Amino acid sequence: MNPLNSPVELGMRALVLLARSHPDPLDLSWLVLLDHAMLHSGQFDGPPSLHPQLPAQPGELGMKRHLVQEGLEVLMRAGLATVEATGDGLVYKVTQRGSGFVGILEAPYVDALSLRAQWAIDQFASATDVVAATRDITARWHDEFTACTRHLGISHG
Amino acid sequence: MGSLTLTHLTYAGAGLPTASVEFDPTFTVIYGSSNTGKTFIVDSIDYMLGGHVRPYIPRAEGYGQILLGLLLPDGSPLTLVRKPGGKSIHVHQADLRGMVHDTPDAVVSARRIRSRRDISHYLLSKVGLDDRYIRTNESGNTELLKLADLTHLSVVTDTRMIDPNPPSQRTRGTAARTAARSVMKLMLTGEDEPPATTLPNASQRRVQRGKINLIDSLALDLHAKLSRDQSPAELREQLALLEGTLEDMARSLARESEQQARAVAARAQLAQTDAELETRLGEVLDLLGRFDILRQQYESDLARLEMVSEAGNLLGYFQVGRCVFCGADPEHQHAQHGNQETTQLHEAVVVESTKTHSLLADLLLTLSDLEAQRDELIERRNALTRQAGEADSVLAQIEARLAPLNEELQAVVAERLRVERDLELRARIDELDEHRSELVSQGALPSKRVEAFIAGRILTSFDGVLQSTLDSWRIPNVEAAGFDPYGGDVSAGGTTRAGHGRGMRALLHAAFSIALARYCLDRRLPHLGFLVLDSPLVTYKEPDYDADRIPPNVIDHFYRSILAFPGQAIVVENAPPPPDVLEHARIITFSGSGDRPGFFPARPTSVLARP
Repeated sequence: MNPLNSPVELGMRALVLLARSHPDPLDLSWLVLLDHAMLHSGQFDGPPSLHPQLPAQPGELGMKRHLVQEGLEVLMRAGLATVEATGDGLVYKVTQRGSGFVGILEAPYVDALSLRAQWAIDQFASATDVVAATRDITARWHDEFTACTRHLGISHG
Repeated sequence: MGSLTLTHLTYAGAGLPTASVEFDPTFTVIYGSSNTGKTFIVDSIDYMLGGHVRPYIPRAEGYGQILLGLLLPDGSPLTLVRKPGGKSIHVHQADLRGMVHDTPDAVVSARRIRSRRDISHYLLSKVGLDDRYIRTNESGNTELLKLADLTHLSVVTDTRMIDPNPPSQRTRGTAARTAARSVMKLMLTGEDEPPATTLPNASQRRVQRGKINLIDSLALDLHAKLSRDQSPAELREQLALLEGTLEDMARSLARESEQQARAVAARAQLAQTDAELETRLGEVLDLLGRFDILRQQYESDLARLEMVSEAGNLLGYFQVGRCVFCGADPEHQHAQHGNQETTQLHEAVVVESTKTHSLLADLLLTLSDLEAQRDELIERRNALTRQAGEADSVLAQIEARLAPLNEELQAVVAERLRVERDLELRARIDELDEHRSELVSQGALPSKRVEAFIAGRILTSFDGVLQSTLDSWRIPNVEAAGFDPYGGDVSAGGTTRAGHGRGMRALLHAAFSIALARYCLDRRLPHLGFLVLDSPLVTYKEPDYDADRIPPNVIDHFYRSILAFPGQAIVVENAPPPPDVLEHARIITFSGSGDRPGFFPARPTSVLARP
C-alpha cells in the first residue's frame, strides 16, 4: 500500500479545501479543480507550488477524480464531512468535527496546504464557472505537455 | 679668316669725267632720290666680284673700265679692273682710282673655270677660304666653295631684298637649298664638308637608310619607355642595393610569419578547448536541472508522508462502525482491524519515508558533485576566455607588424622590377646603337646627313643675335625670330619671311644679313667682312599707331644700330639717316641735281651727242 495518493492523503486535502470554503459546500468537480490549483499554485501566479512540475503531469485529472472520491468517503466515514443532494447535484460540506480535525493536525505541510487552499478558493471558486475553469486548466496542460515533449526531443504525433 | 674691305667703286672712260664713290671702312650711307644710280653702284659691286649680270644705265655709256678698290686682310690694297661685258678681270696690287693702263699683276676669269684661275679662287685664297668644300646634293656630292656662295650674303641687291626666296639661298630650287644649307653650316660653325672617300651606291644607301631610320625610331621608342634617366652603372648599383634590402626584408618577414603561424595554431587550440568545455557545461547544467526537479519531488513526498502519517494516527482513534480506512462493516472486521489498518498505514509511511530520505541523501550527494563540476567548468571557461583575449591581442600585434613590412616589400619589389626593366631597355638600346654605328660605318647616308645639320645651341645663339637685331630697330610684332636651318628661311612674329609682305620681307632680309655678319665676325667665322644693303627700308610702312603712342621710328633706329656693326657696312637708301648718325658715317647724297646729282657726274651734252 502506497501512502502517497492514498485515500487518506486525498481525504485530508479535500478536508482542507472544504474547511477553507466553509460555509459554502463544494461538489466533486470543484474539489478536483481546486485540489490541482492548490498543489500547482505557482503555475497560476499564486504562492510557490507544493508539488514539483513534472513532464508527466497531464492526465492526472481523470485519475484524480476517482482518488478524490475515495478520499471523500474516508472523510464521511470518519464523520469529518457530509454530503447533501441539492439542485446543483451532490455537494460536500465540512462538519464541525472536520473543522476541529484540521485544527489539531500539526504537520507543517497542512499549513502550507491551508494557505494555498484559501488562495485557490479566492482565485477561482468565487467567480469562475467550473466548466470554463476546468477547460482552461486542461488547455494549459495540453500546451505544456507539447512544449515539454518538444523540449525533451520526443516526437509527439 | 680674313675680312675684305671695299674702298671705292670707280667708272673710268677715255675723255669722260671719272665717276667714283669712296667707301668708309666702317659705315657708308648713300642716299638720294630715285634714278640717281644708287642701285647701279650695288649691282656694279656684285658684277666686279664675279656677278653675271652686267649693270647698265644710259649714263654708263662710254665708260670702258670698272674699278673696284679693296683692302686685303693684311691691309694691302687691291684693285680689280673689268671691262663692262668683259670675261676677265685684271688684278692690280695697288690702289688705282683712274683709267688703268698698267700691266696687271694677274688676269683671272670672271667666271669659274676648272684651272681655278678665276676671281672666285683668287679672292677666297686671300681670305683663306679657297680649300673649303660644301655639299651640293643629298647624296653627299661636294665641291669647292665659290665666292658667289658668299657674295650674295654680303651684297644684297634691291631685288634680292624683297625676293620671297629664303635669304640664305642664292638661287631658287631644291638643289640650291642643299648647297645653301652647307654654306650656312660653314659660316655658323666654321666646319666644311670634305668629300667622302667611298660611298655605297644609291640602292644600298636607300636600304641602309631605311634600316637606320627604323633603328632610330625603335631606339626612340625604347628611350620613351625608360622610366628615369639613369646610367647603366647607376642602375646596376641600385639593383644590388635593392637585392640586399629584399634579402633582409624577406628574413624578417619569414620570422614574423612563423610567429604568426604559431599564434594562430595556439588560438585555434584554445577555441577547440572552449567548445569542449561549453558542451560539457551544457550537459552538467541540464543534469542539474533534472536532478533538482527530482529533489523537489522527494522533498514534497516527505512532507506529504508526514501529513498522511499524522492523519492516519488520528483516524485510528475513530472506532465507529465501518472502518474509516477500508469501509468494511463491523461484522466483517476482525478484532484489532482498526489497529491493523493504522499500523499498516504507519509502516508503509515509515518505509516510504526511509526510502525517500535515503534517495534524497544520494541525490543531494550527486547534486553537490555536479555543482562542483559546474563551478569548476565555469571557472575554466572564464580562464579560457581570458587566454583567448590575450592570444587575440598577440595576433593583432603580429599583424600590425606584418602589414607595413608587406607594404614595404611590395614597394621594393616594384622598384626592382623597374630597375631591371630599365637595364633591359638600356641593353637593347645599346644593341641598336651598335647596329646603327655598324651601318653608318659602312658609309650609309645619315652620318653625313647629321654633319650637315647645325647644332641646336649654335642655332639658338644665332637666333638670339637675329632677335636682338630686330629688337634694336623697334619693329613691332617680331617676337620669336628664328632661322630655319632646313628651309633656310627666317621667321618672326610666327610667320616665315616669305609669308610677310614686301616691306617686312626686306627688313627681315636685312636683319638676317646683318645678324649673320655680326655673328660670324664676332666669332671669327668665315665672312667676307663687308655688307652692302640696297633699300632695306624703302617699302617698309610702319603700322598705324594710336595717336597717344610714339611711333617706333624704325628707320632711325635701323641707322643707329648699324653704328655698332663690327664690319664694313654700306647702306643704299632713299631715306636720310637721323642727325646723330650723320656725324659717325660717311654720307653720300645724290640730290638728282646740283653738286652731286647722281653717281655719274653731269657731262656736256656734246659728249653725249658724240657718236
